Amino acid sequence: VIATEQVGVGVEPKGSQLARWLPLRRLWPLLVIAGAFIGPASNPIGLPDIWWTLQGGAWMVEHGRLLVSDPFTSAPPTSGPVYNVQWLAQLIYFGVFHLGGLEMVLTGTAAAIALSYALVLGASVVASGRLRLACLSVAIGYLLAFSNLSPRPQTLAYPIFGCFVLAVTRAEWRRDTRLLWVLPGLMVVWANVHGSFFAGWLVLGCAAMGRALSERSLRAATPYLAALLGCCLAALVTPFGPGSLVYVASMGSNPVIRDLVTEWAPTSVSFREGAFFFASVAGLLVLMLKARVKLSLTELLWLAVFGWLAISSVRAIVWWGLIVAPSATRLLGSLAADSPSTSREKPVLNVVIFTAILGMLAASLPWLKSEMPLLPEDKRALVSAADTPLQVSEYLRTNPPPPGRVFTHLAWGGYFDWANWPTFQPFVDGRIEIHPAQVWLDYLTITFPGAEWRSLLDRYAVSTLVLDRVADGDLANLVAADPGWRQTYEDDQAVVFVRA
Amino acid sequence: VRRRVRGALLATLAVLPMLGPLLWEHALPRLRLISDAGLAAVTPVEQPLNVRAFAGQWELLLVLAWFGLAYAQQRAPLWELVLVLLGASLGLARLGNLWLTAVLYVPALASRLVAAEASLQPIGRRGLLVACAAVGLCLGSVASVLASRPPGLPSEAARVLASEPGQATVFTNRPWAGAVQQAMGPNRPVLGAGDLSSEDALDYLRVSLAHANWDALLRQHGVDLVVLDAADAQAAAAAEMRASPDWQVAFDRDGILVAHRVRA
Repeated sequence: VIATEQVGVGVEPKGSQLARWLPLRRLWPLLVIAGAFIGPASNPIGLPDIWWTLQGGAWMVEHGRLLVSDPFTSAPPTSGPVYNVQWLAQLIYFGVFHLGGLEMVLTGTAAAIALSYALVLGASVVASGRLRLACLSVAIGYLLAFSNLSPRPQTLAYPIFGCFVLAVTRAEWRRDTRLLWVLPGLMVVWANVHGSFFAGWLVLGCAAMGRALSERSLRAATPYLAALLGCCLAALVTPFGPGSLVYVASMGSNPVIRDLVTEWAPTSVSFREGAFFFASVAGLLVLMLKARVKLSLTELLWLAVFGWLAISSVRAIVWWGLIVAPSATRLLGSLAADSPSTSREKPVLNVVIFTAILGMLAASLPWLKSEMPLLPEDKRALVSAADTPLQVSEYLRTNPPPPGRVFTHLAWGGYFDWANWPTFQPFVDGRIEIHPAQVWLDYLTITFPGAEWRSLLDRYAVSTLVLDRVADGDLANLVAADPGWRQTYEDDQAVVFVRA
Repeated sequence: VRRRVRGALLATLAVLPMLGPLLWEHALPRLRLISDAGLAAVTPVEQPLNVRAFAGQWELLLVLAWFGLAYAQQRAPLWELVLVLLGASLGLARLGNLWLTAVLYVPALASRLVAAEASLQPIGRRGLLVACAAVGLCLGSVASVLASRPPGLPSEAARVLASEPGQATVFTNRPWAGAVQQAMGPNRPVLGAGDLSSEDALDYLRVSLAHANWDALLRQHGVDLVVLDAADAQAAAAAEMRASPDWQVAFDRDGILVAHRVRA
């Protein structure tokens, strides 16, 4: 896509063979795609989702069957069936881990992210024919999503989403509908990787509506409608059939997720990504007013639908960042002069830049970054020690807790799933949907701590408390002063109590 | 001139619905560029704006209305753009800034409405459209004000409060603070009436949610009389009050609990 005839029209590299081999127009996309790789590859794992994802995959490989229950946590489960719609992502991640450990997990995640942005870059170039502006738009889209690029099932959905955007963009601007026929196949993968597959329907639905309305003919939208129908049917090709749709609907309407989980909170400027998102919306609106081109109806529908998703929930900003790039590039393209034909190649400088990009790519690889003296200490590790209970987990491995439930800090449950199960089951692990709302209200009352904390711990037959010294500080102080509990361990991060 | 007056009137009516929640704050409108996390936990006007709040949805609608008109008319003067962006930023930072957002939006919105009205044909339809929009916005404003009105304190509870002796601080459900202050007279301090510091707001929240140290926190603030929303926001604290031997319930009906300290 990058080597389209529209890009760098008339650029005939002069001078050495090197200049012909490495023109500037190849360095721009390389820089953006390498940047998309370097960020997630060099960031230590902080989000706990990957741990239960890996453990789920390990469980399925060991037992040779689908995981449709929760063997990992000890809090009472929700009634009804468990729709483990992420089962394929769990197997993929575990397979990658089996190949090369956590280093490979980080590298694979970074590769998936780089591929996502490469696809969106391709879509932006197709829509606008402006490579450098496309790189700028994609880089901004990447920055919008930066906090949501950790190793976890949702991340595997990004390249598929990128394919959807590219396929529709090619159909819109090149009248080439061939890629649309690939989408139902990709949807089968998406529906088994993560519950965000409905975003693919939205991409196609907006395109179908946009085409039908702008051409005033339903027939004109036939390719999109056919692809959409295929994708709707493809989403049912899961071990749960329509159950995956039930899962998506229940996640969206779960009051605990809606009201108590920060990631699902409505976007506001109190979040860094929220402030950045609103700035991007303001920038886009100004561009739309000042640009010399009008966006197509499909683009307007995309912006409205994914803008609404992003404004409704912080975690949806990532989709906004991916879908806004082609439109932003077109708008920028109408304002900025097209100048690549006059730019002179500097072969030596290009080689220096190319080498620097390769060097940074290599330095970001998890196998090498621990040896990089320039990186701060906390960035050299594979796992974020600030977010992961490494020391207390090691202690609990060698000193198993007594019988009874182990009440654990919520954000640490995932790591205990991975590192300590089946020695003990953490109370909860962040998969909100697998426990009833009352469990979460009780969890919050205990950690608050509410006046009922003792009776709740008794009711859940908790024998051991593994608390975060900061987040659960009030509770830790009360427990320390209570003669019914005895402290058995403490470090800078965690404190452990057992019944006296 | 008439068209401009109509545009300004319509724009003013359009911004009113988002001001409903501010009307019941019993405080002068103020500007804060950063929302305070402690205060945001107890009062919606201190929260950064989001689309789950009606005011957030309305502000979004106004921005989109201005943008839609400007986009369709292919005209967006710089002064309007600056006013809208500045107003939106202030509102996003803190819901309590919406009064200023409204002030900034009115001229920009009026300018677009005037241009839109001029393009409407035939002339007879203009008046009807403007009138319909004005009536709709008036109804919307009234509905917004009524919907955001905090629940009142029943007269029976107010009578019980008036008969409570002592000079110590009163802890109350924040939306009732004004009514409680009125019932107790100006000399009795009421925690929650008027301004709260960030730390006081967090203590207010801890007591309301029945923190394990709720009684110690009340002592710390010198409270010996409480007026709680026992049906909803302070149900957990009300349950603790009923069970505590240090507190005696004086009134417990219709979701309101009045209790005073009996043991020092």
